[in-house]
Amino acid sequence: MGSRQVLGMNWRERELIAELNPRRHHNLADDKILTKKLLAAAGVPVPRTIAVVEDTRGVAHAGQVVGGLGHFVVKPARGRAGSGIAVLGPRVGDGWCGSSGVVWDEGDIRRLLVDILSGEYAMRTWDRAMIEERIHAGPVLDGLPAIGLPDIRVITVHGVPVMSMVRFPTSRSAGKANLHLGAIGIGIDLGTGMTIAATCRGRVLTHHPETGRRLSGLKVAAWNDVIETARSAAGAFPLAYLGIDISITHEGRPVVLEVNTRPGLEIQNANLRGLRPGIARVLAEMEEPGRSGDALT
Amino acid sequence: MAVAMYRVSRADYDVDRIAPSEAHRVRVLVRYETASDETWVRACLPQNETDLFLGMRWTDSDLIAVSEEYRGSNRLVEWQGETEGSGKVETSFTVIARNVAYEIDPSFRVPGPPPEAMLPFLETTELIQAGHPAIAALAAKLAPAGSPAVDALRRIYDFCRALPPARPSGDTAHPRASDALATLESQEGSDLGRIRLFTALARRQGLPTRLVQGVVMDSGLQAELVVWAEVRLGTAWIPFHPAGDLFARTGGTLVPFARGDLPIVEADPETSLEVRYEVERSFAVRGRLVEGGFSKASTSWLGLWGALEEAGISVDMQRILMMIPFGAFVSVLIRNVLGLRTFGFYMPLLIAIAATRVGIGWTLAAFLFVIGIVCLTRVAARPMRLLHFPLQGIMLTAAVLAITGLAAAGTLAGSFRLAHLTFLPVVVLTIATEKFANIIEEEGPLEVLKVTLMSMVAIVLCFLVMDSWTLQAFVLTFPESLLSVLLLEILIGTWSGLRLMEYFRFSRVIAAPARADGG
Repeated sequence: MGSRQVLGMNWRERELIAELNPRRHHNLADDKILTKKLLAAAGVPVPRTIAVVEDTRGVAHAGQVVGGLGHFVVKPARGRAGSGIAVLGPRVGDGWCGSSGVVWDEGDIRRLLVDILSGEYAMRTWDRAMIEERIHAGPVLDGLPAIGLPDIRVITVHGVPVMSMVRFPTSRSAGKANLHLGAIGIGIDLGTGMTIAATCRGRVLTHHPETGRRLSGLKVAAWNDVIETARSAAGAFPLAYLGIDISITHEGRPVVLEVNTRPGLEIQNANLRGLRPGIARVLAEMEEPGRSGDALT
Repeated sequence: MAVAMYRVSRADYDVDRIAPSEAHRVRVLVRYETASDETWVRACLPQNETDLFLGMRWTDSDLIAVSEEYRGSNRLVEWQGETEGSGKVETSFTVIARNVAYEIDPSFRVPGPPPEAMLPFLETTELIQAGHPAIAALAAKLAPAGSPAVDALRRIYDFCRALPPARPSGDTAHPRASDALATLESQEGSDLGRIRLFTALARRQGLPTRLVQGVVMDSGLQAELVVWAEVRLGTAWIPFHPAGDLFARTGGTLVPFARGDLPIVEADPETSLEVRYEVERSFAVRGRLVEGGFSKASTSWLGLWGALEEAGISVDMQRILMMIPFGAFVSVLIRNVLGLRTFGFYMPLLIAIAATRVGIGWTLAAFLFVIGIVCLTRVAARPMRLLHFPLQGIMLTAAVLAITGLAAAGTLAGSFRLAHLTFLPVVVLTIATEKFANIIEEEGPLEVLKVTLMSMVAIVLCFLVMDSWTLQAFVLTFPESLLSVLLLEILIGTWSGLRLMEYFRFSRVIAAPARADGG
């Protein structure tokens, strides 16, 4: 394939992010509260926001808000790499069961909220917190049981999907869809929605390391809806190079969890192909007058 | 580079004269404990010589300097005070020592009767028994009467150099244990014993010879006193240092403190002394040391450095400042060309600055130690569920305590160099630890191990560039070379190619056969 097909960090920073993603608009994707507002306004499905906590008065109020809830998620608006997120529920006595089995009480939740507000998990020195509905995962890949919440990362250029992968949590990644922690990246053929290759921590995988199930040739659930959701989500932003993270609910409905202005490069290993040809094709088509740039799907 | 060449070739730019030279900062620390109310401390200190230039001098003393006089070939400085108890006298100075190799005329022979002034250097003394029959017999055996001086000296030098070091024994502290005769009889000797034997044998040949005590400018660790001999040949005193393998040359490393078999530092009988010597590599502008003014150098950049030095900013500090862009350039290469991931962009650079003072081995050890301590502090504080900023404050305090503890332990163990660990950038280290903890949490222990290793590689690379004496001298002489760094950074800033590590990371993608586009 050759190295010229591979998207490296230098090319991503200089040719894509600097050129296609104006700095002044990064906030729209970096701040999950703003992201959700923008997406909801464009009719893109997102998890329902229960409360936004902006200051210490909000922390006290949040205790009352969560008191009546069975399942919910607390997350920082501008968290780094999934840190500071607590997925809670069901209720256990006066508290809630956390993802690692630890029981959280109201005091624990208030403390997390204060940490979030003071910027411990943020890309800056202060932040806002969000309490939102918990998405219960539906099947993403036919026949492959999931631990935690798998998601589908779709890279878009000018709203056109150019590459995609499923990030499939494992028990090693503690149920998190985080490739660094040991989640599996499974590449998807954009045209068919079938999985084609997989990677985990720099190794090529043909079978799931824990269940032994084959990872290629699997159909991604609601694929056409996923692609349409990615398109609509990307179209809501004044940013041309994005990574859209989508999850499938237990009702089989895609929802957008996050939008990234600087999506990672590991997706290329998951697909065993470079990103640059696809990106170049979209950019070339965008320059041709009268083209809408949707030829890739 | 082109500008530098132009300036040297066309603009009458005398590099040898104004380029900063490798220098050493020598510190003598005398701690005294006295029961006298009229304490005096006297020290023999180096002086300007043809091959030795003394620069800036500093003194910090609890006693008052009352006199400085030249006695014989020594410079003696005396301090006095009227306070009982303990105190210190500290004096330091910058030295540039030239490497001088003497060519001895092969036909030079001992002339007739020596001039009266040379008689003391031919004497037989209690510890240098030049007249003893055993010494006389050996001298005659090594070099028969009438041999050329250079041949006689070579044989005496080789004989003394070949003697094995003295085995430790209960009597080694006795002065006689290291005199010329005892060394000859035991066929082994300390450095002092061997040089006394050298002196006795040379004197026996009729060559005026004297002992010299001083330090070797070797490293930043606590320096040991060494002894060598100087032989008068014609009109020059020529050094011979068998233990240091210096035959008729200075090596550019010897700093003489005292000539003759006398103590370098002494005090009144009621005062006990502890003396330490420290040598640290540094930079100085020789033109300024020699001429004591700007003179011709004022027309060059060195005039600027000189002016800054007069304002209290040492050449050392200026050198670090000028090297920072080069260190930053290395960091750029590490990140954008090699693709190594480190705990922050500036971290390797700032730690490398500390390493130029402490040494790279100790710095890396201290880096790991501090990260370990701060990480442990973070883990220990976890059950308290502290808020973010108070926790940061606690981690920073732990970093300061770790560094101070290391520096104090090092200094107590006799290494002044470790005292410089306090140069380690604590804030940067604390931030590095914060990143260390975040990477463990977000990306796992394997990734943090990789980033730690890559950070250490980056520190070493930055250190190698920032510690390059040649590059430092070049940059101080031609500061316009910073423009080339700017140009290279512009070049790298506009380069969109794969980083070296990405070739490994995406090796399977690069090697994969081209597929029909499915999307």
